Amino acid sequence: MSGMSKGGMDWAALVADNENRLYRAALAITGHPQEAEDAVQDAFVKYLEKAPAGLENSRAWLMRVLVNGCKSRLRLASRREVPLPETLPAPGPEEREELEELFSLPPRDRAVIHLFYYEGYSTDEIAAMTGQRPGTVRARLTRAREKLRKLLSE
Amino acid sequence: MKYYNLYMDRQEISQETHHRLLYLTAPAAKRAVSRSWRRYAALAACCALVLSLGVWRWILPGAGQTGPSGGPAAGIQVGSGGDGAGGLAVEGTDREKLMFPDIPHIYYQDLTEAADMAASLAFPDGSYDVELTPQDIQTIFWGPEGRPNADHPKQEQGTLPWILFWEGYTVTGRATYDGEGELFWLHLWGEHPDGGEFTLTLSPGQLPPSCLVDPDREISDVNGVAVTGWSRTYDRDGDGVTDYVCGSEFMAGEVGVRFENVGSPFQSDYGGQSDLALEGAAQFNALFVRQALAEEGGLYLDRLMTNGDIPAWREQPFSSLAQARQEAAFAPYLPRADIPGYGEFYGRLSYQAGNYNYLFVRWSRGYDDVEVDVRLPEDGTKYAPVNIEEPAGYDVRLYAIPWGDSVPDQYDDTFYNPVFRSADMSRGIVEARAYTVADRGDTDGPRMNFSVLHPDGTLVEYHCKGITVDQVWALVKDTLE
Repeated sequence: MSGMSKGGMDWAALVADNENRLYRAALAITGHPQEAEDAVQDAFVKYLEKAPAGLENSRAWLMRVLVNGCKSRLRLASRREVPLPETLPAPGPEEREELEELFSLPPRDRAVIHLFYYEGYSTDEIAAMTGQRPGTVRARLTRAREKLRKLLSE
Repeated sequence: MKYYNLYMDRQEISQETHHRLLYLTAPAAKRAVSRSWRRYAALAACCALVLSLGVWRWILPGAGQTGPSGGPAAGIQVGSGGDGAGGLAVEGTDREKLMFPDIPHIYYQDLTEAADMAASLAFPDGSYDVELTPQDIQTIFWGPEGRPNADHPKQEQGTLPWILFWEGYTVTGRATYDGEGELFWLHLWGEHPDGGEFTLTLSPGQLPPSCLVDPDREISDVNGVAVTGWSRTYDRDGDGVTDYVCGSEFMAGEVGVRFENVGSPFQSDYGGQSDLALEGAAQFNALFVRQALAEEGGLYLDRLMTNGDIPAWREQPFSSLAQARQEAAFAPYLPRADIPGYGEFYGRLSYQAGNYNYLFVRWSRGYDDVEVDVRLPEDGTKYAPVNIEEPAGYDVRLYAIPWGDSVPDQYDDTFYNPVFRSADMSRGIVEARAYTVADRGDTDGPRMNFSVLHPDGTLVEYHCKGITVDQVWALVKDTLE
C-alpha cells in the first residue's frame, strides 16, 4: 500500500507525515479525541477536494484547513466544554497541571500556543494559517504567556 | 511546556482513522458556491427598482417561476414535505411577495477577532433526543392554531411563515429532553442548496446554554427586547471562500433563542453597505428576529415541552471495583480483583432502556490504562465474531506497523478490534493481539485490545496497556467459567 498514490502524489506518505501532528493540534483545540479525528479526516478530504495544483507546502495548507475546521466545530456544534475536558486521554500526574492551565485558555489561544510551542511555527506563519493578523497572533501569545507564565518557566 | 509536549507526543490518531485516511476518496465534485453578490445582481436591481417606488419587492431566486422543463421552480425544494423523512422542505407560494421595509435594526457586532471563553455545558443525566417531525417544526412557528388562512398575497403563507425567507431550505430538528421528560432544548438545522445554512436553538425559560462565551457583546433593542447580535467574517471551513456568519440571541417571551446563519439565500444593498454578502446574512438573521418577536409571529414550544416516552435510565459512578461488582448482571464479566500496580480506579454504569447498558472499569498507572467495558445486550446490536481459523483477520504478529500499510483490505472490519466468541478464547488468542510500539515519551510494554462475545449476547471489551499476556488472559479466563 505504500505505493498508493492520488493524483501523482504519495498519499500514504502524506497521511503518515501529517496525521498525528494534525490530530494533536485538533486535540489541543477541541479537547475531544473523536472531534479531533473527525477534524483530521475533514482536512484530508478537503485536501483531496480543493488543494491547489502544485501546492508547495502541504503541511501548512493542511494545518490551516484543520485549524479553521476546528474553530468551526467549536463555534457551531453543541458540545461540552470544561476546564480540562473529561474526553481527553488521561494525562499522567505530572502532566495534569500543565494541561489544566492550557485548557483554561480560549480555544483560539490554545491553537496559537500549540502551533507556536509544540509545532514550532513562527507568528507570521501562524497568522497566515489562521487568517489572523500577525499582530493579533502576537497579542494572543503575549496574553497567553501571562496566564501560562508558571507553566512556561518550567 | 515539557509535560505538555510529552503528553502530546503520546497522542496518536486511532488505527481505524488512520486506515480510513489511507482510503479516502475525493467526494463527488460539489456545485461551486459563489458568495459573490454578482450572482444576485438581478435581485439587487429589483430591490433598487422597487425602492424607488417606496415598496420593497423581494423575490427569491426563481420563486414563482417554472423551470424550462415544467418541473418545480428553482428555490422550491422538492422533498419529503410532510412525511418526516429527510426533514421539512420549506415551500413558498406561487406569488411574488411584497414587503415593507420594517426589518429591525440590529447591531451585528463584528467578533471575527474576538476571543472566545470556554464555559461549562453539562447535559442532564438521562437525557435523550427525539427527532422532530415536519409537523413539530411547523408548530413551533404557527402555534397550536396552525397556519392561518388568508387570501391577501402579503399574508399568504407557504410551509412556514414566508417572512422568514426560508423557502428552499430543508429543515431538520431534534429535541433533547432530560431524564424527567422535560424539554432541555431543541435545535433546528436548515440547509439551502446554494450553500446557506442556519442553526436555531430554542430553550424554555432561559437563553440556550452555550459552550463558548464572548464577553462584551453589544445589545440592540427590538420592540423592547434586548437582542445580542454578532457577526464573523472568515473562512469557516477552510475551503478558501470567505463565509459570512451572523448570530442573534434573545428571549422571545418565555423562549430563549439563539439563531446563527451562514450566508443567506439572497443578497441586498439595504443599508448602503458595501459588503453585500455580510449584509444579506444580517438581514436574513434580522428577519428571523422580527418574526420571533412580532405580535403576529412568535415561537411556540407548548407542544414540545414534555415528552412521555422517557426511556428508563440510570447513571452510577463507582469508586472501587468492589462497588462495581455489586451490580449482579455485570459482575460475572468484571475482573475479580484490582490490577496489581495500578493505583487510580474509575468505574461507571450507564443505562438507558433500548439504547445502552454498560459498565466500564478502568485502572490507570501513569501512561498505562487497563479498561474493561461490559456491554449487556440492550439495543439489538449484532456482533460479527471473527473466524479463529483465519488468523490473518486478527493476529497482529503477522503485520508490520503501520497496519494501514500492511493489513489487507478484506480485514478492515475485524482486524482493529476483533470480536471473538467466548468459546474460542484461549491464551493463544490473547497473545495474537499483543503488540508493542516504541513511543517517545511513552512507556514500553504490551498493548492488547479485543472483545469477547458471550452466549447471552454480552460483549466485553478489553483495552489493556502495560500488563502481560498472562494477566489479560487471566481476566478473560475468569469470565468463561
